[in-house]
Amino acid sequence: MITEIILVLNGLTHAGLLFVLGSGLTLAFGLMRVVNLSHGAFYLLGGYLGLTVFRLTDNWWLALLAGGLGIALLGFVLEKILLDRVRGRALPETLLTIALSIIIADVSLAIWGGFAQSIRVPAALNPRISLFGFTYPGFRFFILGIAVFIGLGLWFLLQKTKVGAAVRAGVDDRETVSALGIDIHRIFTAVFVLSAFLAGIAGVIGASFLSIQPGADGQILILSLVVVILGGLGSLGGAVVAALVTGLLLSFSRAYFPEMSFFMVFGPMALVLAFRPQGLFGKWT
Amino acid sequence: MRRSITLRLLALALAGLVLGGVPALAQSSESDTFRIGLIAPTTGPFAAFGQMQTEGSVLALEQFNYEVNGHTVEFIIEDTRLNGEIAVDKSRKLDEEDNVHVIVGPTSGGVGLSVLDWARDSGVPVIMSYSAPEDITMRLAVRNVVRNSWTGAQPMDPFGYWVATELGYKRIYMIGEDYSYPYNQAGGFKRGFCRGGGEEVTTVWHPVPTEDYSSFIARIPRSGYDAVLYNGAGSDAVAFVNQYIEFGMLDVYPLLGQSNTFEQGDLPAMLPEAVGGISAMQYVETLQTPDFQAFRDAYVERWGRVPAAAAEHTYTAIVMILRAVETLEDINDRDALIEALRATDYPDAPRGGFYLDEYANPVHNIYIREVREVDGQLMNFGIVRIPEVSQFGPYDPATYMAQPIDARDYPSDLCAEFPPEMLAVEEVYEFIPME
Amino acid sequence: MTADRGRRRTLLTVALVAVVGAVLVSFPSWLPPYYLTTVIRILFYSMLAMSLSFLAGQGGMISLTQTGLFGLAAYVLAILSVHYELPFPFPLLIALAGTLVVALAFGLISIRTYGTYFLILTLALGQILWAIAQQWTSMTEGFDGIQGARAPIIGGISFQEPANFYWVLLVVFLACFFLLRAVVRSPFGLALRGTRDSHVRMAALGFSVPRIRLTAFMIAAVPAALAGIFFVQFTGIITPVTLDLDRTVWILLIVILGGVGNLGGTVIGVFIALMFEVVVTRFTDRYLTAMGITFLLLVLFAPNGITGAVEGLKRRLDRSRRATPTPAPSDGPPERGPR
Repeated sequence: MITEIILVLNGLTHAGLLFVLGSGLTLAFGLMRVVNLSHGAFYLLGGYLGLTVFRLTDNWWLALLAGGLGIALLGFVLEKILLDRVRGRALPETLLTIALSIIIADVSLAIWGGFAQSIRVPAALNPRISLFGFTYPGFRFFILGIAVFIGLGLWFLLQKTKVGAAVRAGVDDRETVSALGIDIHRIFTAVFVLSAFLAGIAGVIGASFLSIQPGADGQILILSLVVVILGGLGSLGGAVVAALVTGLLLSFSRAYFPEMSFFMVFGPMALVLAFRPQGLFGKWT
Repeated sequence: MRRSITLRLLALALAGLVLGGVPALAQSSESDTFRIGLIAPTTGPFAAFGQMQTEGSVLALEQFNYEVNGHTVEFIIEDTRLNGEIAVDKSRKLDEEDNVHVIVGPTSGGVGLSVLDWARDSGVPVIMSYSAPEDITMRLAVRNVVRNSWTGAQPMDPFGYWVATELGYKRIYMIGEDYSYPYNQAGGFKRGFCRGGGEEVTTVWHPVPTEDYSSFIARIPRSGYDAVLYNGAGSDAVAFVNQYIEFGMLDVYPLLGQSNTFEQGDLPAMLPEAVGGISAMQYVETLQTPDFQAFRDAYVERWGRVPAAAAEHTYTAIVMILRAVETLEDINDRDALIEALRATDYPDAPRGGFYLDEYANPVHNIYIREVREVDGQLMNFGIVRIPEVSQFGPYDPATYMAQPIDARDYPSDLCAEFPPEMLAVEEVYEFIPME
Repeated sequence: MTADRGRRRTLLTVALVAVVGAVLVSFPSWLPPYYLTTVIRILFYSMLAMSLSFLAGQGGMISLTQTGLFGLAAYVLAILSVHYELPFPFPLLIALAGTLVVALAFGLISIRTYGTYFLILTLALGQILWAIAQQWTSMTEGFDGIQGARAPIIGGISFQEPANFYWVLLVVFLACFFLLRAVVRSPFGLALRGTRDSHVRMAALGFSVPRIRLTAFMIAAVPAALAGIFFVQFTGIITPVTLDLDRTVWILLIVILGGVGNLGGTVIGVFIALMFEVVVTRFTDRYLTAMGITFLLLVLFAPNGITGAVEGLKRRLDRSRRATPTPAPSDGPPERGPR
């Protein structure tokens, strides 16, 4: 019973991380039809930026902010300089993001080296919580909290603000939004920057409760894609459900079927797609 | 129209290939230099190992002034990216294009086995300076391939014996990375442990890589064992150790490691509570002997960091080669070089003296080390030294090699199920305290 | 007059082909062994790249699953020949058949999706194969990979001899090449391009778009699987690295470099990529960054690859050589007159 409780908690933590990553990715695709395959590299670089800032300032919140804002800035610059050149052509944009991911990952390796590193979370944020007779790292609850906070924030942004309404409209019908006089390109940029920010934050979180090393980008990218495909491109609610399913599956399959854990994570995705190519809650043409 | 462009370009490419090939043919393969090739992962996630191997080699070469036996030494480094296919391709290139006399490297087991295969066909002398699959110097041994580093089981057999006899542990819970090197480490540990009076080593394997060990930690029974042994390295080890600590498991069981778990390059990323972690290897970065201190100081001065095992092993490989070449009359006499390498006796090696056994694997000290904190930094300190440990442990080579190779589920987790010939052996280990 | 020129051109082409053919066949007798190895690698990587080039260029389907199928075929052959010690031709046949079955399953899942979505879906599917290779250790030996696959010895002829291996590979490669070309030029190829350009219209015209795409997907799976079979028997080892994200992207880069859809260009792309690796690693450790930058520049400035760029250059040169310059299609008002 205790084992199962820990496994559920672990699953939720992972779900939190995957949601933070998947939400940005799915919104960006829903709106721009571009899948940012640099998302994993953004996560990686965000984690490393946070690591460096943490080493310099010893302040975890500052590191979190640095990771998020740093990648947001990078996203903004890349969007303006590169992606803008191929604006409107989804395939070249996607391919560009692949090229960027290779460059970012290799440059990160050059700067931070190949050894695994992690951000030492301050004890205040990581109390040892006593639960049913065993210890659980409090930071994992904290991650869940951050994920919920971000989720609520995004929901509020999308449902209750004008910008959010424009984004939702843009996901549904780009042309009409343009025709209504809303500068769709500003919205593209904003969403892209937001998704980069979330990836950076996720990187710092990942570097804190797990570790950061070369190769982390590829793994997390595939997991993000699974969440986004399963949940449905463009759907925030889909991202929540898919993140939960994926996180819990990862946790339980690792415990009972370690040889097949990744395969089992892909399973629901493949199954859902066989019947609903657009994913659980996806809305695309 | 389009077709003829393509055809023209194809013809151009072909011409390029041909033109490239012709000068290669015409090129004289005789040159006065002695050429050494290094294959290591210099790019990619394992670049740290490539860096260590390069630094160790270059230090040795510089000490010899890139000269041996009246000839200049040429050193060529090729990147394997830890991939067997690429490594074999680079080895081929080093042999067929660069005409090297000897190849040093590589890092991982899989790559080592691929290169072994190629070396068997090509006959080029190879020194395995880190790759640990035991069969390279056992069941698959080849005359022209020698090793100056280790096998997976070599340090773990005496370690297991010590854990059982000295620490008195009876039951160990082992979580390990699911591939051959940890299998070999587990096998060696189980053999020594069972001979020393242990009862069981429960082994659980996890996929490589795993970032979150909470599921595995969740399944560790809270009683019934004496210690947990983590059988993995690198980012996996860092994640496991830290999460083990965070889940409060140190209050339940002490933590032991495989040879690379507390690798000095990974210690800085581990929580301070990792202090007390025990592991065993043929190397300890704080060794106090004059030979090691001289090497260490030279390395620190040259590269600005403390050498790790991989660096020392490549260093000694180069020195081994150069000393062997010193004895040759003709530097191009491949057979003489192989014989000289196989006869290596290197008493002043930085890690501690070693010589090669008849299967061309080193017989050397194994150090049992403990993680301690000095000036806010975690380091390994040697607590016990076991001299003259061979890859076969206390076993007779024929008996050892008659056993199936260490695998996921071999040897058995239960000591009682061990074949009698693996338990009834005369113990040869001497445990000498180091402080 | 034109008949003469036409005949001369045909003769020239035939002569060129004959010379090239003779040179290709003669390689093992005089090319240095390391170069022959490189040619062999060019051949099987080209087969893999061609499978993607065909799908992407003719069908608009950028399938990042091809590398996975390549690896799958290699693994099945390795498992059957090394672990189960099945004799030739069983490992080969089962590897081919097995890969086609998986391709069918993947195809069924993905052919109802298009464009970028198809890309990421096939990426995820390909990575499922990687995950299985990496984690199902009892079957695939995980991280270590499977060692020991070898080309067979049939009737006294050892195909482990580089020369023999090369000739068989050359024949298979040429067969794949010409067969794919034949498909491109067939009515099916036309229909396929139709689904690439507008699948909605094709459906309206009564074509079964899913069936066309699935057929194309299955056709493309064949050279990918064959390439994997040759790869593992030549290299002797198969590891999860062969199907990972980096390798998948590398093949994509090659296809774009060579010009999507251009089969001959793909071969050139492989050649350049292999040479690129050799040359760049001589100067810097940042080989991957160089590769990424090259990819970037390609996508931005030469999306039609080398063949496209050369073609564009030629077109510009031809134009500047003419007495009365004709405006390029991209600038100025559209040309009037007969089309």
